[in-house]
Amino acid sequence: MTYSIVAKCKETGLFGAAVTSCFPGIGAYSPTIKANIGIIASQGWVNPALGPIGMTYLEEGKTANETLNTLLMKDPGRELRQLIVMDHFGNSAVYTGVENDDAKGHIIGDQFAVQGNILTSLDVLYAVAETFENTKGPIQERLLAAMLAGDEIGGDSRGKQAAAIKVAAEEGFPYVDFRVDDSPEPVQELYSIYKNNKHVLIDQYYEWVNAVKAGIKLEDHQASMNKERGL
Amino acid sequence: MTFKHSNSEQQHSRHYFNELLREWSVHFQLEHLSLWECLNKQRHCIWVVDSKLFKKTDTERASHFSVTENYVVTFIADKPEAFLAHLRKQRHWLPILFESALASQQYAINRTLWRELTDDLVSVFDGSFYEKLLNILIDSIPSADSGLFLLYNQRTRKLAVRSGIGFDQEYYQKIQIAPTESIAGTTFTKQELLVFNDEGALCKGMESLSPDNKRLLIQANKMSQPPHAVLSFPIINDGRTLGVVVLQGSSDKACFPHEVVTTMYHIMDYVSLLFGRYQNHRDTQKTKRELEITYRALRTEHKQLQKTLDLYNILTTLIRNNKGIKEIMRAMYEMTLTPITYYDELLLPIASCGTNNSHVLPENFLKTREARYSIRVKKWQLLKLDHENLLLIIPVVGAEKVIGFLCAWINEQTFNDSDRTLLEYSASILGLESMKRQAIDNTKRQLFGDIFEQIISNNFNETMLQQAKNLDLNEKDFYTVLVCEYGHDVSSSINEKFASEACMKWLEQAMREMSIKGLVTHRRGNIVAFLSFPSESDKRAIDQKLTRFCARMNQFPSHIKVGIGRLELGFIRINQSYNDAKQCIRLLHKKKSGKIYRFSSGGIDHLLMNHDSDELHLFVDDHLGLLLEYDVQKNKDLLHTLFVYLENNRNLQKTTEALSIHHNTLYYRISQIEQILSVKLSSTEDWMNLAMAWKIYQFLHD
Repeated sequence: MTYSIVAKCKETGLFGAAVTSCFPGIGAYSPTIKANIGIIASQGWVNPALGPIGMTYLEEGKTANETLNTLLMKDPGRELRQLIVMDHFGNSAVYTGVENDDAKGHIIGDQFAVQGNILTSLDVLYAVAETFENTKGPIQERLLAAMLAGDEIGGDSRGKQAAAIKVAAEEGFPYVDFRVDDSPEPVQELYSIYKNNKHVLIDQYYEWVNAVKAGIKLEDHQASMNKERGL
Repeated sequence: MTFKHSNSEQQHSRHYFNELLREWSVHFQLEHLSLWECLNKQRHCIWVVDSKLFKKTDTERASHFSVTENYVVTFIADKPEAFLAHLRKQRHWLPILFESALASQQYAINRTLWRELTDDLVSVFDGSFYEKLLNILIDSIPSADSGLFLLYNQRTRKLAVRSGIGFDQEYYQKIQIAPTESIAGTTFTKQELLVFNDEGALCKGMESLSPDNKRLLIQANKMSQPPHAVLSFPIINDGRTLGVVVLQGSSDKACFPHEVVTTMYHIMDYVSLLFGRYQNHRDTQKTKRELEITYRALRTEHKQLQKTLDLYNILTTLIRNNKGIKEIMRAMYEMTLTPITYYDELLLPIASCGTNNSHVLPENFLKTREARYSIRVKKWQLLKLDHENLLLIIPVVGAEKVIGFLCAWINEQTFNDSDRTLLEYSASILGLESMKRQAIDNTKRQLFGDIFEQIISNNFNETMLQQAKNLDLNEKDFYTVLVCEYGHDVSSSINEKFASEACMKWLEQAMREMSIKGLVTHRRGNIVAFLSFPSESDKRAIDQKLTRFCARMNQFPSHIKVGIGRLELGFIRINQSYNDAKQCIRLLHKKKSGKIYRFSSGGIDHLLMNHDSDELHLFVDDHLGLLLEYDVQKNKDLLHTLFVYLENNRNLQKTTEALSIHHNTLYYRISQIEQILSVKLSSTEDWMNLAMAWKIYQFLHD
């Protein structure tokens, strides 16, 4: 399974991750994100259970390194996996198992990490990392730009099939959570889905959260906002 | 209208005025009597003697009397002149009386508010802050009977009700007021205290309230009627509006007069200050919690990093000082406090630390999936030993292959998972150290093999002698040579390709353990070892040491044959000892039993080895031939009887017991043997010949 990026926004503190692979419905398996806690992103021969288990360690206050070491100790198939753990502080610990197919590797950056295997070349990882660092804007848009950059270089040497992006803001209220389960151009489609639909809830996420919590419809809010703006 | 407070000063002024107004009302038969404040062209009712009688519509037919510039007494009476006359008569002292009473009233409100805010709210840092603040304000301010605390949400850009008194939470929690919307929104935007004592102004102020919010506000209102007076003020911190407090009075006569407004102007800043303090405290608490988490994480990471660096430094020093594997293992143990053993690829323990008898490898270790996988991927694996104990298997990798295993017995609950990385790193160091040692050993063996070949061929020269000296082979020491022939089933769990290496390592280890100097090498499919002893050693002591060494060799878990040559003095006589050792191996082959043969304890066997076989057969035939023929012809076994008799050195009882025969039978058989062979077994010479013939017979037939 191909490449993924996890990150913590330095400005908002939001955690986000994006993944793409030649594997159907990759978003169902990884990543696992919890607002204010961290991210677990597993790929290679994915062990989806590592996500929720690792999240409990992060919630206990374990650091990324501790969590990664404990997860590896409990996972007999560790050499088949690639695993990023990002903790509350945005620090990442990454493990690339020796049984992953080449080209494989990982990059740990400032508040982000990138991992990949079965890549056309390791340039994919560098492109993803550099683009993320050099892109401005909300974390989800930086992640998508990074994924597109990796896709442009070549991505998964086996081909493309699925992609996913998740950004967590408030627990229980999905912020950015889009998946492309089967597509010839999953990353580009993922970007289209985001672009075409972000106005629905993402652009007025907190109004929506408030409305849900208050037990009212978001439309009421929208109407009052329009009124406020003189629309 | 009545005051709600039971404060003594309030009570006093209220009582006084109520009594006064009541007295006037009764005395002059007034239909209505009240005291109004004129403020900003608006009139606010401060007291009314009987609220039941008061109707705002009546004010048109009411009479007025200005007590001071700001206060007006209004009344309705059938004949107002009498009362007016009375008021005029009292006009000099009434202003003083009113001002004084009102000041007293104002002072009472202020004092109560300040005291309660200071006493009750300063120490509140939990979520009850909002409700407590509203309660204090409502309890202290005349007319106020309900209120809302709205907080601005920067994300939604709306004012949301955080707490409400006199309102139903189910509804008020849904209210989301935009800045500029209605009274609260305007207060928020303008950052001003707003008062609405007039129904018209109030309606106008609430005009911009959205239909949903209006509906929710009406549904939320628990009071019997809509508000008649509203006072709202902003909570400002650092120039930014954080929220709005709205107070309402629902009674018909509800009014927030000038004095209350003045008070609220002052209180407003203090409430903002308290709220700022409350928020700062919460922010501080949050930051403190964050810092605690950060500190813990930092401490954990630092500890692990420090451990890693310490181990790195220790191992670097140990390697630089050539301290060896045992010291490396000790350092690893001290850092991780985990029982560890370093095994070579044949599972011979090289070094251990912190282990006891229970720390052994499981049976068929190399056949376990974990060990096999660990060898294949050259990465660590965990093997479950029981419900809570695990064996951490870290392969020690040499030049492209696994050359050993660092095994750690860990408890699942107590083991620090991060220490695994330390052990993994240490295993790499062990691998390098082992390879270094292996390279040295291989060079030594090679060199030793070369020297050995030169000795065999009696090719002594200065260079060779110097090389021997470099290998710690002293020219004048005692030497004995050991030749070892190994089988292929060295251990059921070890591949046969390791057999030779296993033998050599085992020999080297046995020599190390017994402090025997020497070198081990290969020669023509066998393993050859020089064992050297200092020239000043006592030969008997050397013999005893070799005896113990042979006993140790017997423990070797393999089908081997070991021949040990005679002890020779001087390096140049190694050749003789080597030939002896080879002869011992041949004897072991001939005997088809036994594992070790020392030339010096071999008796006459090595003499017989050097004799011609035909000659030996002739000797046996000369002395035992007739008896052999007799046994064949008569189908008897007198030869066996003779051998047992010889073996038991003519002891009749032992012989009869061994043969399970009666002693008379033995007498008879001995007599027959003597007769057939024409010998007397009592004769020493005949006995010696027969004994020799028996020995040779055994030698030939073994």
